[in-house]
Amino acid sequence: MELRFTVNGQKQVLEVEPQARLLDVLREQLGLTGAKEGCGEGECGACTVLVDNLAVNSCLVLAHQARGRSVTTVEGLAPSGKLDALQQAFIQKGAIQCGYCTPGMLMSAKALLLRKPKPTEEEIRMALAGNLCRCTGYVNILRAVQDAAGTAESGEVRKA
Amino acid sequence: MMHKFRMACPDSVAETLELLAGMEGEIAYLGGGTDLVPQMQDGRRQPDWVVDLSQIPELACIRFDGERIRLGSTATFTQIAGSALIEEQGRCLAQAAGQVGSVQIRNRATLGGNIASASPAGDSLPVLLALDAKLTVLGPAGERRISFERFQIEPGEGLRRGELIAGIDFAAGSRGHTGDGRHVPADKSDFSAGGRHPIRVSAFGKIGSRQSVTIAKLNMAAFLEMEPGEGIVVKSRLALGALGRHPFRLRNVEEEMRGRRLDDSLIVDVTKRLQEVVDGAIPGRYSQTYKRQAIRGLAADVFGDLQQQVSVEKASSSNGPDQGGGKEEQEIGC
Ligand SMILES: Cc1cc2nc3c(=O)[nH]c(=O)nc-3n(C[C@H](O)[C@H](O)[C@H](O)COP(=O)(O)OP(=O)(O)OC[C@H]3O[C@@H](n4cnc5c(N)ncnc54)[C@H](O)[C@@H]3O)c2cc1C
Ligand code: FES
Ligand code: FES
Repeated sequence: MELRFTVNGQKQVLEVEPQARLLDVLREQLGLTGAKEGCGEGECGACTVLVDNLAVNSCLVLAHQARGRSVTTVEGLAPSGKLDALQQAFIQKGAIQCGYCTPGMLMSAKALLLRKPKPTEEEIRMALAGNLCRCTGYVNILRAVQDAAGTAESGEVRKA
Repeated sequence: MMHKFRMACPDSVAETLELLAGMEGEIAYLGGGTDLVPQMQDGRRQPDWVVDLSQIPELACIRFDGERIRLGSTATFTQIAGSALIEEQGRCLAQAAGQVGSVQIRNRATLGGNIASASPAGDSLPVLLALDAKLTVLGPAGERRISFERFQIEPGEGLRRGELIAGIDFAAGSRGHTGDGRHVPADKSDFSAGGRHPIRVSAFGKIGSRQSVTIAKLNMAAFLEMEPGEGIVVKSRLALGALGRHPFRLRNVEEEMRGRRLDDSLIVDVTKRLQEVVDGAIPGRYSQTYKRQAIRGLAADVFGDLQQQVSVEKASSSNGPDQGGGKEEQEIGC
């Protein structure tokens, strides 16, 4: 079945099996391996990408459901190689350890900032509630998002 | 890897029904895919046809037709939780929608999918009982309308082969008037207090193993209609979920609330009755001890929320009807 959609600003026309998930097409047919498969069932958020600027678990979406839509992956955050403010903040604030959760975290944070450029701490927590990280303990990730949004306070971030 | 299936991606309901005629074997409709895709991925579901409903505009609407609030079955929980219309006219539904899964899940998961999946813990289900919602179901044999409660419990009334849930609707007016200032006429039999609106409030609560992104261990929705003067309960609907195969109404408790004021003594009595319901529903189950404690907290949350709403309503109704200023009544989709 033919699938027409836009990925990171580029129009794509692909031959895609009905049973392929969006995650499979991004990783295997388009070579965009930023989105990761953690659980494959919507629990971990490692596969998070944006569809029409909304964060979704690409492991739960059939690729053909993205027909006509615009998909953004972590690769789309730095199209020319220059890092997005969020990516820079993640590096600076030590929000990355093994990095497996990072592409998903970044995309959930990106979706939030697109909708709400100056989120509260609570809004950041809610936006990232569907992304699990087994390394960082979340505090540095929160700090990084606040930093990118310019809402970082001097005070301590509440322990997760 | 999923089994092989054929897929149809119709653009309209009419096209969907036409396509059905040519489909053999098991048909599965696809909404957001948050239940169906992982089930197909691990082989639990192996339909011959998957029919994607997620890009049919007429199924994605949220609107008020002057009498009832109407949602298309593919309205997502993000859309429902963010709708000023739902917040105003069926608050418990907006609250439940906002507590389903994570942002990513809510951006895809649909109300129709929640109903069709019929999980014992589905968060919209007690809400649909509390709002006395009706479903519009379409299929090869045409259209049928059915109350959600009958759809859920009566043998043979659930989805038949090829049938899809097209829409969900319920009577407008958690507040007796609409957000745009139009008056929602109250049912005459319920209300005769000299032209003043009855107060209608609803609330949803849920208890899970953590604060967010959690499948309910218990969930509850309540709807109350009260006469505006003394705040006497004239009608109520109370539903509990995650206790049995499907959520259920508590008609005895509803009956006991009638004629009483929504005060702390009512809440104490209702909480006691709820604990008895838990004991009766899951006697001796390891979760009984936990759930009979948990339900106290849940009752306190839900009834506390209702009390709070009633006091706000009373304050605003003594200043004349709210003209709906401030909030925008957006209608989505249609
Ligand atoms: C991580 C995670 C967290 C979750 N958290 C919650 C939660 O907190 N609360 C909760 O209630 N649920 C939760 N769920 C379950 C799920 O997201 C919901 O049940 C959701 O509403 C299903 O909707 P969907 O559109 O994704 O359904 P789909 O997966 O598309 O479909 C589910 C079933 O319904 C059928 N179907 C779909 N639409 C229709 C229709 N219009 N007519 C007829 N049949 C139809 C499908 O054929 C399938 O059998 C969670 C799921 C995950 C993966
Ligand atoms: S891989 Fe998609 S949520 Fe875990
Ligand atoms: S950095 Fe390792 S899982 Fe988050």
